[in-house]
Amino acid sequence: MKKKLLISFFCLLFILVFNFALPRLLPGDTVLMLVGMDEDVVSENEYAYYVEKTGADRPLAEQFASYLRGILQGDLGYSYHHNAPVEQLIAQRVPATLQIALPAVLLSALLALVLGCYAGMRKGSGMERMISTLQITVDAIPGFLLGLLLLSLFAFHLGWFPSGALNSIVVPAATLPAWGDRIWHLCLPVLTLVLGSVPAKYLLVCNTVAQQMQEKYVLYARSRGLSDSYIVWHHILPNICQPFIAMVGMNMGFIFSGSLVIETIFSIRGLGSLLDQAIRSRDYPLLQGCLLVSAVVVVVANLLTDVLCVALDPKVRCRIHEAE
Amino acid sequence: MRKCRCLVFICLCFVMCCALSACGGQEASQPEAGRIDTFIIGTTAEISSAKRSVYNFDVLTGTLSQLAPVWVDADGVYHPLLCTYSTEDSRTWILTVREGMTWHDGQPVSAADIQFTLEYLDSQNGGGYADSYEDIRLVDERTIALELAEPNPRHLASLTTLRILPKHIYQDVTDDSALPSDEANIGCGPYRFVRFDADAGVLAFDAYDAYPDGQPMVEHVLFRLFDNEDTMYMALKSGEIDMVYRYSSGVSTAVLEDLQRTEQISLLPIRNTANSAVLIFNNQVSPFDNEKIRQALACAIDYARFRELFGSPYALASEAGFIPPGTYGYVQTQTLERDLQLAAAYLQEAGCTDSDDDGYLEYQGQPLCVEVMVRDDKPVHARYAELLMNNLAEVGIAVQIDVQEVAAFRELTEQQHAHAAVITGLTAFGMAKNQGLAALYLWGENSMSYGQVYDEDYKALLDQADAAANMEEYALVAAEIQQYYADTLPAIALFWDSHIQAFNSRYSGFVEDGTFGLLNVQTWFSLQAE
Repeated sequence: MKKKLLISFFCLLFILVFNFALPRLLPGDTVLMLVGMDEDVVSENEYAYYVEKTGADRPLAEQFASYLRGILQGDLGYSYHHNAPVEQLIAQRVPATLQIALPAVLLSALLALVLGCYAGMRKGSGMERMISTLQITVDAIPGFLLGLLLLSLFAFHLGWFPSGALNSIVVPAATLPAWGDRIWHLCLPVLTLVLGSVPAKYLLVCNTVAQQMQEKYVLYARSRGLSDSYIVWHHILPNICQPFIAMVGMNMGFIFSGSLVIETIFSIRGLGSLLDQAIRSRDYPLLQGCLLVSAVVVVVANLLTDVLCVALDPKVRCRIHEAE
Repeated sequence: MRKCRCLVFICLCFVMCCALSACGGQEASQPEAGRIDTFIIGTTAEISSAKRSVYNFDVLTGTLSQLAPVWVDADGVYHPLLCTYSTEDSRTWILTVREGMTWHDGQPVSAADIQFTLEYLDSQNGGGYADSYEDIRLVDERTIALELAEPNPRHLASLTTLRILPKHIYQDVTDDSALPSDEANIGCGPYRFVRFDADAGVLAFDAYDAYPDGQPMVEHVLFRLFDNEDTMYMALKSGEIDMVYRYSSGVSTAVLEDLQRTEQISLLPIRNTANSAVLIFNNQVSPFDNEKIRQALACAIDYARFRELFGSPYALASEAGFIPPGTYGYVQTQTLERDLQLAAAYLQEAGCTDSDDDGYLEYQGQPLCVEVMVRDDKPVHARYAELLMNNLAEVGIAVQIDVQEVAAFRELTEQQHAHAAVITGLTAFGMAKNQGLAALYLWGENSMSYGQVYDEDYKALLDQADAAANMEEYALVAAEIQQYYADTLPAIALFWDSHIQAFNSRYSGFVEDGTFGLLNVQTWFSLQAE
């Protein structure tokens, strides 16, 4: 576990160094890169102001120390395009992204687990082939296309769901209907992310369950008269949970980046659309802030999955215990 | 166990039903005795907050709640909006606030507000407003005299986008983000700003009862903000929104055919005084310092193919005069057409030969290879350059396409003038700047001069345009300038296109505004629903 913590720490350190170095390594004027401005729109006085503000004239080590101090205090820089601190802009947008990403991670994990176990127990059957073919087909559809297809069908043709945003133009005043309104708006974007991220997890679960079904402990359990579903949920699942949880952790990063496309299609003002704006307007401070937050989310999610694996998998617990 | 599962399932179904029934849809637009209750406009304009300093928000409010002194119609004729106007010598302009104009908090709009706005914008943007006048005088409560250093008959052009601020709100404000949005957005137009809901992606405006011209035809105007164009067009087709809008732009040509097939959608082309697909030569460098070569290129381009591939069904053949119809002072000049024989003759006259018989010409002992620079953020410009390359290869001219990142493009073209030719789009605002008629982009001493024209004859014409005492005199000079372009071809318009506006067919009565297109104060008083 200590090793995992150390790896995560060095990962974070590398991300910080990379993030610090990126605008300084890009060709062109470092000061302009740090503030995300074009040369032709910056006067001499403004340039001098930006030099002082960014500390670009100070030694590199001093700049890095100041950068680290800022990060530790929660200061991610200043977006001159938005005229606001980067951390404030990100904090405004993260809730919207989390509202899509978290349900998508949980639902896709649950769906992949149920489908994967069901199909894994029946490996080679017509039903398993059908589910696997469907999953591979969905996996082959790019996220933006899947989003547009769902939007076209469910929002514009059937009219079952809204075409975007996080709530209706007029939000119901009462709390419960307001919640319902939010859930109604989240359905399509979450469904798009879920459908896009289920296949990889499904295939992992399906194949590992099918493999475990051949193991002797399953044979013994069967000979004791236990049902297949009992065997899967009580005996096989603890054995396959480690790679599955690791994959869900990795998936957090995919869903964070994947939500960029989904947020754009469904006009949701989350971290993804903020990142998109930053790229289009060459707002480097904001871009750096968004990338740092995304990277930290991935590292932390991976660390948490490692902790979860230890908690859930008796073999790993045992290995740690033996090592100690 | 089984009962428990059933119970959970029923509970889940109940929650879903509650959720779905609670939000059974948005309020539909319900016309009532010829009037319209709610009109929803879809836009992909990026709006992060409801502040006047946010460009797109400021533009949208200019069509509803914030008024400029005057407006210009599609023929380039100016009309009173917030103010009536008069001038005797095109140097002193008298603006009088119309009777009964009030701010949305009930305070009367005064001439002092206009003076304050000019001074405030100078302090915020570093000049260009109050300091462009020699003198500003308050004549009475509602009248202000603006005196220019030189006569300028086109001065009203700069007043069509000057949205007047309420002095009593802004006089002690240096940063508008410090103001609460309901106060910061107090305007004097026929609509008052109601709210910006970022989560719903909505900007809402309601009709202002005390507007002196009476009640507009629409009670509530909503802007639905989309991040994705495809979603917006689907919403238009499904009737979820009534119209799509983008300032100084139209519907993307890629979706035009689809929209045309949709019965409930009407398309309306409006005049476009921008020049959105142009080839501009650097007239100072070889080979484009040779007029014959420029003429040859003009004859070698397949304009019909450009229109067919890149234009809308409403695209027009461009003319040698470079200035699109709809611009004040436009005169018809020779239509640009492909004539390969004439192109070959011009090239021969210029001294081009194919001595090595490789199919490509040489000029002054060097291969005639033209470098055309384009911006990387406008992929369609690279497509124009590719078609140009194919066209010119047919007369033996090689083309090298140089794709540059935006900042580098600006540096190389606007600062260093290191380009041979550029393919770009020129905005209507830029086309009208300085003396108008694309002088900003062509006269060599201007900051954005892609054309690098330093010809004394051209300079003399621009001076005459500056000295014109009235619009009639200006129109005469404008005709001469267009003839100059037609004769010397410092730049070529590849095609001209209209801005196509799309809206639900049940609406009619839109008025065309030279600045804002179909969305403008006049439209709100004439819009009708079936």
